[in-house]
Amino acid sequence: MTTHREPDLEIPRLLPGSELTSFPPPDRWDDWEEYDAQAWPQKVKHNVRMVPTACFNCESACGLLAVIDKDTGEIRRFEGNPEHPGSRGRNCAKGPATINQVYDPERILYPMRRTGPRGSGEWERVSWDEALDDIARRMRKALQEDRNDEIMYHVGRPGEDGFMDRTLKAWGVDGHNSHTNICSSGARVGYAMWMGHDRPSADFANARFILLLSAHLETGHYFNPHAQRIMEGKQAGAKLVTIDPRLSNTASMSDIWLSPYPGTEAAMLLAIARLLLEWDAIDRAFVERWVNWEQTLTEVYPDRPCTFSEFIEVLKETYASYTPEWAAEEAGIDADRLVEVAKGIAEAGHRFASHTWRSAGSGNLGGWQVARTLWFLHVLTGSVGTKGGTSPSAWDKFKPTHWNMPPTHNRWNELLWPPEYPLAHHEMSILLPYFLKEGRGKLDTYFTRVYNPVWTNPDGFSWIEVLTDEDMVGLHVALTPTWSETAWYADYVLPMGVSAERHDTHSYETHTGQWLGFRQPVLRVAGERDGKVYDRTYEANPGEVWEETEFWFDLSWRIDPDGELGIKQWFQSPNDPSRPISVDEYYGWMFDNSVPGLPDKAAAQGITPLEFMRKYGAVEVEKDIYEVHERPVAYDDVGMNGIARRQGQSVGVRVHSDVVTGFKSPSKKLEWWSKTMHEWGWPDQAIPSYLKTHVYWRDMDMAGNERILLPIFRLPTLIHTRSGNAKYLYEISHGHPLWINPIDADALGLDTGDLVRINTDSGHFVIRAWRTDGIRPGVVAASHHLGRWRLSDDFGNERWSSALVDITKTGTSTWMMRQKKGIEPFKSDDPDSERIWWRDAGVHQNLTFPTHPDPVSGMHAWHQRVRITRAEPGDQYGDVVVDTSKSFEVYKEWLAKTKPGPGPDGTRRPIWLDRPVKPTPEAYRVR
Amino acid sequence: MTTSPTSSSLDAVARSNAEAALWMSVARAWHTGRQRPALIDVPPTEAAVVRLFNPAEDLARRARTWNYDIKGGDLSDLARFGAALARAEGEAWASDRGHIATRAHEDRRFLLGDRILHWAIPWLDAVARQYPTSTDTANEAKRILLDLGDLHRPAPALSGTEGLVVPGFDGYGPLDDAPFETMMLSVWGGTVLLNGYLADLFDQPVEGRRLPDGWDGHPGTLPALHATFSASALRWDELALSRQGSAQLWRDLANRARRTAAKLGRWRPYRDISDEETW
Repeated sequence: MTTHREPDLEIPRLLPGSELTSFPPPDRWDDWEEYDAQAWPQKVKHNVRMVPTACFNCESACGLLAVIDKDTGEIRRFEGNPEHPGSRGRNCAKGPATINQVYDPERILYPMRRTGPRGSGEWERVSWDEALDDIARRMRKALQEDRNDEIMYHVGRPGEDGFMDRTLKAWGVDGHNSHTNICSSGARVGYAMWMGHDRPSADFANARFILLLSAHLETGHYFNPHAQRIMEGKQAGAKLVTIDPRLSNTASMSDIWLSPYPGTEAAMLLAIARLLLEWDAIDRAFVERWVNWEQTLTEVYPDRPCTFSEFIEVLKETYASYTPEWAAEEAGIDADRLVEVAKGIAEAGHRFASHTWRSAGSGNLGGWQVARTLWFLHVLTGSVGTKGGTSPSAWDKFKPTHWNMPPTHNRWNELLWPPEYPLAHHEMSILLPYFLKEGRGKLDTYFTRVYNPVWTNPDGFSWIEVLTDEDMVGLHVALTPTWSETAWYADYVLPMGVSAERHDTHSYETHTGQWLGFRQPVLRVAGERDGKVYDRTYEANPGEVWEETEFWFDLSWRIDPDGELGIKQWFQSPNDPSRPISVDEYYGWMFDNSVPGLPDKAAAQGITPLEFMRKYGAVEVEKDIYEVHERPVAYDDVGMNGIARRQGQSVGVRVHSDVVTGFKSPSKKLEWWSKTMHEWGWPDQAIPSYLKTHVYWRDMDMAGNERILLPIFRLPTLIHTRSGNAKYLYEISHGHPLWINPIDADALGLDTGDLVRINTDSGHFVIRAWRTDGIRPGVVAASHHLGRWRLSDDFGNERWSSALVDITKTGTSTWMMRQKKGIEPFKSDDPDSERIWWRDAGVHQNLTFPTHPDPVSGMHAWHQRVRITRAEPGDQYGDVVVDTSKSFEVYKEWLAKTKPGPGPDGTRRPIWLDRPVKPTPEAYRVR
Repeated sequence: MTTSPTSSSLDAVARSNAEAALWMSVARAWHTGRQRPALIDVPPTEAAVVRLFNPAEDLARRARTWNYDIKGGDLSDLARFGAALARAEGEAWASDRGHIATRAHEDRRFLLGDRILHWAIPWLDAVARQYPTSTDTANEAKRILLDLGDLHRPAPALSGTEGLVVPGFDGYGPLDDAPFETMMLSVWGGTVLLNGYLADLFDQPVEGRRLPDGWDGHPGTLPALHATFSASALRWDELALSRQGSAQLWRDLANRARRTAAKLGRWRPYRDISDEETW
């Protein structure tokens, strides 16, 4: 028998999946018989219906199946949806915990309106009609008076790709605000300056070497879909390296864990780049073809020959000083380990995958350069868009077209896009309180949508100061599934559905493929299958919990009932203009007209595209997407700069004799030297470089009591302020210690359990120490997922997860928070609430952080330079003391670091750089 | 190899790897591009005679739980999957993941017993007879698969009173689930009739394993087919005695071959036999 080997005849490596072998097939989801687990050991059969939706607890929108009892009509549990291309039936703990959120005895079931002073905790129940009419009347007046900029929509959890873009355009409001600059602005700018695309999509499953710089993947959003593919890659032999000062879950599973001083990551990455250049372990053909080396040499090095080999010499000279020995000393790591990582990347070549998102990029001044230097390694190795490599995110994210899209608006809201931050990736939301205090503007109607800036943002007391001032914020409407620290300071608290109670569409770069997910209110869908008729989703949800999609339809309708403002036309039903469009009409149009392949897949089953999405909850649009930049494009002409244009739009680039898609950067190539950075005042940061962080370890009194605080690591079971209503999750995660290395603990005289004061530049908080080797010396850390609080004993926040506190204003700008009691059992409709055994709600550290907006990316640099002392007499666990005048001073100090626009062409911001609800080019011009 | 690897066996990984090598040798030998004349003579398809469920989909579903896609479903493809499952079992034992190892073992036994042996052995038997250039390769593959059958024992001989076979069924499924011609041309008739055999028999090219019109009117056809099925029955009897791990399959196949031979013996061209004995 022949036994010689051929490459395609090797033994395939299997990746054992989850135990879904006996999962009910989709055709039987509508009527599935199973045994009642509660009745065991008796075998009591009952029938259930499984309705797909998508998790709402983090951004990745994993598929869920709501299992609904056909007799009672109640949701029994949530499982993974095996038909979902991103999550493939697997979920983290947060998915199944949705059942807690639906049946949470503490949840807000009806619209509430404030009756006493804002923040007094006095509320009354109102009808949806009352709330809609009141809010619409106010907004109509603002729009009639051309005060469009006083309307602001501030989103915490997105998940409705393009929907609010459409709504705000219909209103003519440049009021989209987001959480991005407390999250990912840093990484986004780093990636965008290379290629226009602002985030990576790693092909982990096919990689041979995986490098993660993240407090994110292993615990944050994208945790589940990415982690399962990292495991597949690892099972297939990939090496996993994690760079994180803290021993995260992922670091503990890695082949190599590198624990550098925070802010030195870019130095390490550039040392790896230097080694790749030194070893000639680079893909010269790729670099020659795709890097803007000709532009670089022509404009930056006009005296040097414009040849590719000369460019390589420039690279070698530029990074000559980044020896592994130097970088290792700078980062406080072992040089041999750094070389080992570089070798691994060199050997992996095109199969090198990486990811960074928050962590170093969101912790440091200049953190955006971490993403820029990391992508440099992909450029050098040619692992861009390859199998096992890393692609731009947009290649793996599907964006459907929305029905009847209004024209682009021509406004520019400087409360969100101030002149000081022309390159900021997303809105400067962290500065809103200071801008309001400075009188740069005011808000007439402010929507917080599943967002909790009082708790989530830095310097929350400054947020409280402006939210309680009705001259600064006229009306605050909180759209939220659960009470929050911010909702307490609202005028209306409007209950919005969790994942199983709302419609929206979403798509994320979970792997090399595109899919579209459809979240839907499962009780409404189940009821409609039984012949019930609903006019609005709140008729099917618990209480009067609604969904944003219908809310915005109805609100827009009421803002412009007679069509005078030109808004009504965008919300009229195409079938009956006398009423607002319905969700079936809206998403039916989208699925019929803008999702390639979906109509055919639906037709093959004899159903409509909308029915297909309601049945499966998601559709795969394309898979195995690689090397999109090399795809040929249709074009009308090619300019002298090589840019191919079609109907006036740049669509591609000429590379040698080919005209292909390229990237989204101005040159359509990968920009090692960024002309944008150069022209907008940052010539010294135009190339991948290492910037000194604001928490640079050599500048600190490490021999004394100064340390670096990492306040942003996540817990895999919690998600910011949206998981406090899930009892399962808090039973798992409810401890909130300060991680401190034994070396530091000994130097500071601290033992596990000791109360310590952490002093920041604007205040201090009191927390308990935990000695652990899981954090490097010189650095301390506390998760940002704990420390929830409430001001009323029995409502205003979740008793599963929050401490009861007193907040006292002790001076004109000084505040104090003190815990009156931690978590305790309580009586409710859920007997589990009397079984609570955990007590620690954690400490809210963000209140004590002054705002650190990076002058380029606008990212809040989360890491803090802190002074650690033993707690003083009278200090209590959870104490928080802040002086907001000091935090205002810090804001001013950081503002002074900026280089305001306009840019060289008189614009407020480079037009090519993405931003939400992008206005017309005219609006970019400073008038 | 006389026993399956278990976690208590110190050489579990080595045993699994050795088994993977056996599977892989079958996969390589029967990969597209090799044994071409024999491969063109496609193995019997199950879809024509098996109803109620699709065996290919059933296997694909199991493969998906390993994130593996069954491609063509030919012998090479299935053997590759078998090799991969063997290696997966070894690796799982090595990393102390018993639940994965036992799944790999169970799925491999299913693959062998329910999706390969029943058709591959008679098919290889026919290939060895019909294509001299493939005879050695076919016999070697047959031996390996039967060895694996003895290792995994997916179908040991039943005493006659045990088992779950209901009246009208045997280990291959229902006895009368398709028209006679369809049954005879599939392995469910008791042996495999390759295109080459049919071409020789009818002295004309035969496409896609179809009987020519008026097939039973050719002189000598019925006696030849009768002899073929009768002889096959004897070979399966012999195999059932020597291969205990898969003996019940060969007993059943022998009985089926005898039933077909008997039917052929009573066959009269162009006669309506619908009222006769039910198959």
